[in-house]
Order: sequence, then C-alpha cells, then structure tokens
Amino acid sequence: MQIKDNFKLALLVLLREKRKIIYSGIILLFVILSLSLFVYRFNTNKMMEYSIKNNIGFNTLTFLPRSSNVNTDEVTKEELNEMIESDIIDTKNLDRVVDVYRSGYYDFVAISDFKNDFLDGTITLIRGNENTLPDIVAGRPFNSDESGVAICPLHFYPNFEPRQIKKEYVINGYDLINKSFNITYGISDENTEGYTKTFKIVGLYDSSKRFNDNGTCYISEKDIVEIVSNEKNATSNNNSMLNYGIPVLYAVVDDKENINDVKEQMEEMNFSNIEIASVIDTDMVNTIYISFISVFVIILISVIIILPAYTKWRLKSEERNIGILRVCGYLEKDVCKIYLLKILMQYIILYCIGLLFFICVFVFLKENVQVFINFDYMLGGLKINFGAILFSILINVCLPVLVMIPYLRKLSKMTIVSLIGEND
Amino acid sequence: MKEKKKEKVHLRDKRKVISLINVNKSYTTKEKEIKVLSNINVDFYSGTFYAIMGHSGSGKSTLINILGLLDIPSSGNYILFGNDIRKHNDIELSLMRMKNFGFIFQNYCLNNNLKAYENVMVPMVINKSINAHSRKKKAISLLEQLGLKERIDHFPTKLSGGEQQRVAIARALANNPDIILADEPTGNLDTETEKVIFELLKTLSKNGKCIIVVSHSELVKKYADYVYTIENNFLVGESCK
Ligand SMILES: Nc1ncnc2c1ncn2[C@@H]1O[C@H](COP(=O)(O)OP(=O)(O)OP(=O)(O)O)[C@@H](O)[C@H]1O
Ligand SMILES: [Mg+2]
Repeated sequence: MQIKDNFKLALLVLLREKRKIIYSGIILLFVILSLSLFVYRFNTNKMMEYSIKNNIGFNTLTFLPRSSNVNTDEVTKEELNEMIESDIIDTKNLDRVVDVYRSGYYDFVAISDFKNDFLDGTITLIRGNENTLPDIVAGRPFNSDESGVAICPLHFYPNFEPRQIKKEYVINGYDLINKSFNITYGISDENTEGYTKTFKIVGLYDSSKRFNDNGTCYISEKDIVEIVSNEKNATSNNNSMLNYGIPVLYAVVDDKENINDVKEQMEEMNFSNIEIASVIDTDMVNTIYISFISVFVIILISVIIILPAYTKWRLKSEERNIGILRVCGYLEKDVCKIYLLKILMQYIILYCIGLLFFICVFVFLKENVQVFINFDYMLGGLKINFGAILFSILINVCLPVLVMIPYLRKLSKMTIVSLIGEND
Repeated sequence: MKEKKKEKVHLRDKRKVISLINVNKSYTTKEKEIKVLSNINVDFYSGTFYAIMGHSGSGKSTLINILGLLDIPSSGNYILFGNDIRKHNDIELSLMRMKNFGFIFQNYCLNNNLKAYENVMVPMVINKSINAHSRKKKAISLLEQLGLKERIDHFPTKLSGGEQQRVAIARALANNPDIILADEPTGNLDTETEKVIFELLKTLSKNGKCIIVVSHSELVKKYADYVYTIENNFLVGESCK
C-alpha cells in the first residue's frame, strides 16, 4: 500500500467521522490547559529570576555591629559612633563587599523639581558607588568621592499603570543630562524647612532593568549621609534617645553567589545576627510548584488514560470497517497505519487549532487585561516559550498517539470474522 | 454413526478454482469442542452458481469463511488454483483474498462514512494493477452497470437495502476476482429485490465467475447450478440441472 493512499484514506476517515465535536473539544481543552501550564511555569520562573537578579536585597546582609552588646550607659554617643564606624570600615575591607551602610542610609524619598501636570516631583534617591551602580546607558557613572552628582532613569513616569502613560506625561531623561535639579528632603511646614540640595545629572540608566520605584535616582554615599544625618539632627534635637540606639548595618555583596562566604567571614569577625536581607518566599515558591505539579499530573493522567480510553471506545465502532478492509485484503500493518495516521492527523490539527487559540487569547490578555499588562511590562515581555510548545506537543500529540499504538496493533490482529461480527 | 452420502462434482469444461479435501472445522470453547464441519470434500468450478443451504447454526458461515480465507480449517487441505493455502503466510493470504475473492454479506458491510463509489474503490487501493487515476472511473462504471448511476455520490445510509447490496456487489467486483462469496446476501431484502440480486449473481456466473451463495431462501434453487446442504456437519450435494 502506498503512503499517498494511506494518507488519503486516513484523511477520509478523519473528515467523515461523526460526532467529533465533543471529542475534539476535550482534546482542545487539554492542549490549551497544558500550554497555559507550561507558559505559566516559564513566566513565573522568569519572574522569579528577574526579581532575584534585580532585587539588591538578595545581595545584601543585615547584621548588628560588634558594639551591640555594649552597655549604652557606659559609653558616650561619640564613642559608640566611633565603634560602629570602625565596624563599617572593617566590613567594607572584606573581599566581595561593595558597600556597607547603617539602616536609614540606603534611600529616601524627596521632592524634586521634575514636575509637570502629571508628575508631582516625588523621587527616590538611592546610594550608589562604582560597584553598585546600574549599567549606564548615557553619560557617565560617578565615583564615591564625588558629590552633587546623580544618575537618573531614562524617563520619569507618573505613577500610572504602564499602558495609560502617554508621551506628554513623560519627562525624557536625555533632555536632562548635564542639567541640574534641586531636591528637598524632610518635612517642610511653617516650623521646619526641608533640607535642599542641588544635583547634576551625569548619567542615565534603564529603570526597567532594576527593581526600583518609578523615578529613582542614584547619588553618592557622601550625599546620602549628608542629607539623612542633617535631617536626623534636625528632627532629633529634642529627643537624643533616637541617636543612642544601635543601628542595624547592611553589607552589599557583589554577587549573591558569594553571600554565604561573606557571611562566614563576618561570623568569624564576631558580628552577630547576620541575615540575608531578602530571601525567596519558599512558601510561595512551593505553592507555585505544587500547583504546577498537580495540574501537570492531572493532564498527564488524562492524556494517558482518558483520551486513549475515549479513542478506543470510538474505535470500537470502527471495528466493522476495519474488518471490511481486512476482508478486502488490507494487511494488518496497512490498517494500523491508516488509523494511526488518522489519529495523528486529528491530534496535530487539533493541536494547531489549540495553539492558535491560545496565542490569540494570550495576546489579547497581554494587551487588554491589567494584571497581564503589568507583568508584561515588568518582565520586558510575557512570552510563549518554545519549550512550552515542545512539551505540549509531547504531551498532547506524541503521548496519546504512542499510547494508542499497542491497542491499534491488537485491533488489527483480531480475526477478521470477529471484526466483522455476526450478521445483524 | 450415520453415514452420509458424499458426492464429488466434476465438470470438464470449466476450470477448477477451489478443492476442499477432508476439511474439518471445530471450535474449542472452555474445554468443550464444538464440531462444525466434518470431512468436507468438494470442488468449485468457474462459471458456476453454487448455493449452500442448511438450518441455522449448521455451519454455512463457517464454511464460506474458510472458503474466503477469513478462517482456516482445523484439518484437511484447501487447494486454491492448485496451491495448498497451508503453505502461505498471512500476508500472502491477504494478497490472495484481494486478487481472487469478492465478498457479499447479509448486512452489506459498507462503510457508512464513505460514499457509494468510495466504498467500491476501497479494494482497488491495494491493487497494484489498478492505476490510482482510473480507480474512480472504474468504480463509477461498476455502479452504473449495476443500475446505480444516480446513487454514485450517496452515502450508504441514504440507500435502500437492495441498493446497498448492489453497492456491495460492485465492491466485490472491484478487483475483478474469479470467486464471489455471498453469505445470505438477500437475508434482509424482500422477494422482489432478492430476485434482482440473484439475477445479478446469475449473470456473473454466466460471465465465468464462480459464485457461492449461502442462503435460506428456496428461491436460490431456481438460480443455482448446484445446491449443497450442510446436515449434521456433512456437506450433501445435489445438482439442479
Ligand atoms: N468463534 C466461534 N466459537 C465457537 N463456536 C462458534 C464460533 N463461530 C461459530 N460457532 C458455532 O459454530 C456453529 C456454526 O456457526 P455458523 O455461523 O457457521 O452457522 P450458520 O449456518 O451460518 O448459521 P446461520 O444460518 O444462523 O447464520 C454454531 O453452532 C456456532 O455456535
Ligand atoms: Mg451464518
């Protein structure tokens, strides 16, 4: 029997098959379900990698200074301060440590003059140095000795949902490079005036590559310390207790791979309560993983048991037709090939329809539904990955067809008399 | 044990197509052996119309299935055109079935998902001597010869019993076999239609085909050249002419 004829017959059997709507619907459902599952898995993984990569908390250790067990009644504020400073210097000298600071000296929110009808001027300022600054897209980075310099995002967006942002809302960073701006920090009312400082924008970075708030600028350590301590002094004049507390310290490590090495070294140096600032929420990860596995198992069982059982049941009504083929002289392998091809074509066609439908829904969601728009924006594109397509083909086409092969062989090997059945 | 008269028929002017020599058939079910056919000795010739009769359960279908290579004898020899079929494997038997036999069943056994002409084309697909382009033409011409010119594109479910059986006859003739086997071809048809079918089969036998028909109908005796009856597992023959 020629391959061409095999195809023709298989196609004919497939096209003329009756009551295939429900059956096709079930197969389609599984195709869409497994595609959703694998795409979901891929994107949550990407999401997790993204947050680990871009959240500096995963590279940061919190710890208490060695002076934490000192009785604060016995030392002066200045002595304590000196002890803490020496702790900071010691840890800064460690290999792999790129920055060390006291709590409260990492970032602050201030009012800038980046204002328009949609932007209220609120920006976040974060400490940065040669080692911790993000990649510079335009202009230059600064070094720790500099003061009054800032690295700003490419664009200042209003705090709207990304898709609602229009061009006129946005302040373009390129227009600001090498220009100066003022920020005011601290409560400014009738009694107190906020602390004001001028910065020159020396460089720009791509804010979508960092886990930052909108409108976050990097400034040097010197400036952060200057502004924050000034504010602290201003507000704590009447309340010296505040300054007497022992601050938590933060050490930023160049790479999260090295964070445990640094932690060990610091333990040897008698620092206490050393913890990684951000850890992956294992409960959430487990929930995602367990839900993934359970849906996967359900799909797998269905594909291996339910679909073939249903296909077999449908093939039962084909027994007589198979018998006729055998009567006419078709070989067992001819019959096997025809029906296998038929099933294969059916699954492939339904897979393609399912995939097309899935892509349409996916694109629609990405363009129109807020949750998906946000994820799309954050991840730089929600994607249907090639792996998801490959796996769903394996699960929804290869597997059910493979499972059918032994049954088809059995069917074609049945005696012709029993296939044709009793004359009714 | 009752001795049954066994008769061997010889016709000199016609070609011998099938010989059964001492053929026995029994089924074994759960330690019980059911003997269906005993010591069958019979020859079938081309250009002859044979009727096989007998009461229900006597083994008519069993015999015709053996003749059509759908089943194998428990013992004895089956000689088809001088070849002992025991020497052939399943693949060769399938090929022999395709070349030499046309089958007609009581319930027509048409594929209801295929149109009339497609049903007729089914046996041609595996016949290498029929060119793929001429299959449809040949199928249509066969249907036309059987008076189904207007029914070529119809599905079997839209045809009457007689029409369906004529499609089945066209399919049996698709590869131009020498032997047509029919198991109660008129069992589901009225007397008028039955006559039409027997008439058709008669014409085929006159054109040189060996026609073997299992039937309950007394009418078949009018058309048959030979009538065999299965009685108590034995085949008893009588000539009608
Ligand atoms: N596969 C089988 N296993 C066991 N017994 C069988 C089998 N096939 C047929 N028989 C038995 O063999 C006997 C002959 O059956 P067969 O079908 O040949 O009868 P028949 O003459 O065609 O009857 P009918 O006129 O009702 O069609 C019956 O008693 C039947 O029960
Ligand atoms: Mg019968």
